[in-house]
Amino acid sequence: MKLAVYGKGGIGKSTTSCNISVALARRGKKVLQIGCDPKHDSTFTLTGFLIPTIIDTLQEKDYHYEDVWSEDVIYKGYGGVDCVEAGGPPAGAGCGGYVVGETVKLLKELNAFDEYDVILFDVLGDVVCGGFAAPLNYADYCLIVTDNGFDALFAANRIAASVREKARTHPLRLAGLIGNRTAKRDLIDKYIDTVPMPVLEVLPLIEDIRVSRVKGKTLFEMAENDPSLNYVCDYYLNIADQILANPEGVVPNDTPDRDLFALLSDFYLNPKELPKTEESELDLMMV
Amino acid sequence: MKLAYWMYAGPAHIGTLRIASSFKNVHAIMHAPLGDDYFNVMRSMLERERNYTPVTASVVDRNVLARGSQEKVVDNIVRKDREEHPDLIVLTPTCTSSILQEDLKNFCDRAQIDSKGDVMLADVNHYRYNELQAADRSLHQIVQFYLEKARKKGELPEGKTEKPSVNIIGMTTLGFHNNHDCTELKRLMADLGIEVNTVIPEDASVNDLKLMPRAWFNLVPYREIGVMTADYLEREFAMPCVDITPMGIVDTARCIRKIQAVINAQGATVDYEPFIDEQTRFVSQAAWFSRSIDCQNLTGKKAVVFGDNTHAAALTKILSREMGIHVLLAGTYCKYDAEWFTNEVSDYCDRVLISEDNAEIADAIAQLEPAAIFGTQMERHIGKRLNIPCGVIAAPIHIQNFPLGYKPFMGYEGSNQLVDLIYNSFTLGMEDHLLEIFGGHDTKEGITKTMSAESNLGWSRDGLAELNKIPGFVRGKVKRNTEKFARDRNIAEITAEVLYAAKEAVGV
Repeated sequence: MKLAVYGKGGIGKSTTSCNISVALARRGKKVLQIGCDPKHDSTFTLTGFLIPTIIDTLQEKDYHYEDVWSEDVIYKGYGGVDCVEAGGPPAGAGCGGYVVGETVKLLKELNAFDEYDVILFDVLGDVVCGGFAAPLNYADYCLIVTDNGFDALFAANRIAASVREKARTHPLRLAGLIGNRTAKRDLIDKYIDTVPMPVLEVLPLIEDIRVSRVKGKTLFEMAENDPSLNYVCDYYLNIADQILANPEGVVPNDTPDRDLFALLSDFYLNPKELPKTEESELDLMMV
Repeated sequence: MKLAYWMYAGPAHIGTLRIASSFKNVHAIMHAPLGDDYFNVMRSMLERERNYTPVTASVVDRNVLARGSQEKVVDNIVRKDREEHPDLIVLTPTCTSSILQEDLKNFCDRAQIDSKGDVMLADVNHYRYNELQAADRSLHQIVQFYLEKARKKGELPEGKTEKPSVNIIGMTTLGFHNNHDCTELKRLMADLGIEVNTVIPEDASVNDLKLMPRAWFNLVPYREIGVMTADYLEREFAMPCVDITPMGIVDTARCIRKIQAVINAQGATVDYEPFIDEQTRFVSQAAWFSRSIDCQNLTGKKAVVFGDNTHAAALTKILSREMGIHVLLAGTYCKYDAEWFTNEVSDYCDRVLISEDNAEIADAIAQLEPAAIFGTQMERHIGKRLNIPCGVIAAPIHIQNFPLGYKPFMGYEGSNQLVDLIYNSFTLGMEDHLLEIFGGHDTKEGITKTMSAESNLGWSRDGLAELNKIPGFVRGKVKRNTEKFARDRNIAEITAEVLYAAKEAVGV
């Protein structure tokens, strides 16, 4: 099974991905997490250090693909999760999308795709070009990390559009949304009213998750010494279980950007005016 | 179904490279993946020059994609500067590499520090402009760069030349008969007593660009390349511009009269009327020839014209005004400059077509069935399939447009050449009848050739034989009507029977 995790920049994709990977491993699956971001810090909480990227390795071997072995690019992370980082050029140079596409191709050539029960692509902020959409060509499910905010849902809608596009030709489904740092979920609900899709889990704002990121550890690793954190791990285990149940998923019917903009901004600008007018209408009816 | 993608004008970097490699001692570097660098091949094949085309590629390979260009482009520029000592290095991306949006201007600035010559980034949007627009822009950019540089250094010349003088702007490598036109224009200027101050960009040195303001006026013979440069010179140096294409007897005279007005306004006292009269009546053959008995049978013949703005407009006017030929349709692929073209030709033709789609032009030709086409190499192919003769009058450039003999399109000799081309393009008098008697130019059963690719109609052998018995001048019409008849009734194969039935039904 292949998963692709997308979402707005800074929403906590990598942290969520790493914890889901460990959760899947806890359920006895062999998991590979692929960081598809030139920042190459996706797997940091799994390995505890920035592992060499695929592009670093290829460059070192002068692009002699035949000299590249799985061990050169795949690193063992916490909980038995294997880790790969695509890497890429600094902003404004080269082509990050090319690197993602190249990484996926190389891993296929190394037969890495067949060795794992679950492969999880953790892709940067938004789908900006064909390269960053490349994981969708291979994925069975897309997961979108969001919060209860306008920007994240707007980005989610863009990703939903990409999923819809890819689903024409690939057996790709949207597994659902994961609410991160989400105390209230009213805006998320409003969005899924318009664009129906499952919500896999909603995590509240938990300080320990932020701390785990800085420490370079997953919640599962931290919970080893601090059992009080087990409840956080349960969120991720819940997500893992849902995915392992092979959910039906959806091909989302994306809303045009402008409509969504109106929908979401209306929520902020005219809060709860609707019920009031209904009431006054009722009053008139009474008279 | 469209079988092939065809472009009348190339991508933007070709325009920039044409300008750069027209100048003397200017080197161009492409930031381009392998395969985008076919300009060198094209130019060395067509221009047959002794020297290598001064263009190299800084190849965008996987290292560049994975890590960015880093020092590569800068190193390549500095290396070329050291090896070739060019006066100027022009850096350009191609359509492909411009997707990367790398900061090439920064590479140029960095390379400039270590280079003896000048380094410049061609400032062109590759997804907005085509070859011709990019060439116009790049020429303007280079001229402006050197004039501003000279102004800063205080090296701009004072005043004008003693005698009337001209800058001829827009002569480029890979231009359509540009080198012959250039020779002809120089001769014309000599006849008019006008000194040629500079000719740019072909064979010009960038160091001479600062001398441009000394000329009394600028001559821009081609609408496609040079207009922006002339506008700039008019704005900054108050230099008048003559932009009438001297093609055909009438427009050559108009061009000369404009030159006269422009230089007399600056203190000269010339009268070119006797010269124009002499040339028109006694030197050029075009004027008497088009009135001669030979040309009588061209009168009222129908033609379609298609090409770039300059040539299509000029040809339309010559055919209609000077030779009495009926122009059914005049078209251009310069969509970006459609208004100019429409203004130029709308009085001289029935219909104007602005399109970059060769199939649209082919269909129009197939429908109009002109006696001759004057177009590009593409229209020549269309004409071959339809059995309509075609004279090639405009780019896209082809090896056949680099004749060894002297074949200008401009000036009085150009008028002669054009009349020859036009006259010889038509199927003439007796030839018409001979073709009728002997059944066409070739023995192939060319009658099934059609322009619409969707057509799945077939002609059976007896149907074809019957069709071939029909006189040539109505055969096309009969064929079209029969095919329409068959299509309407879902008949896949047209036999003699179908032909007769169609004849009964339509009365053809």
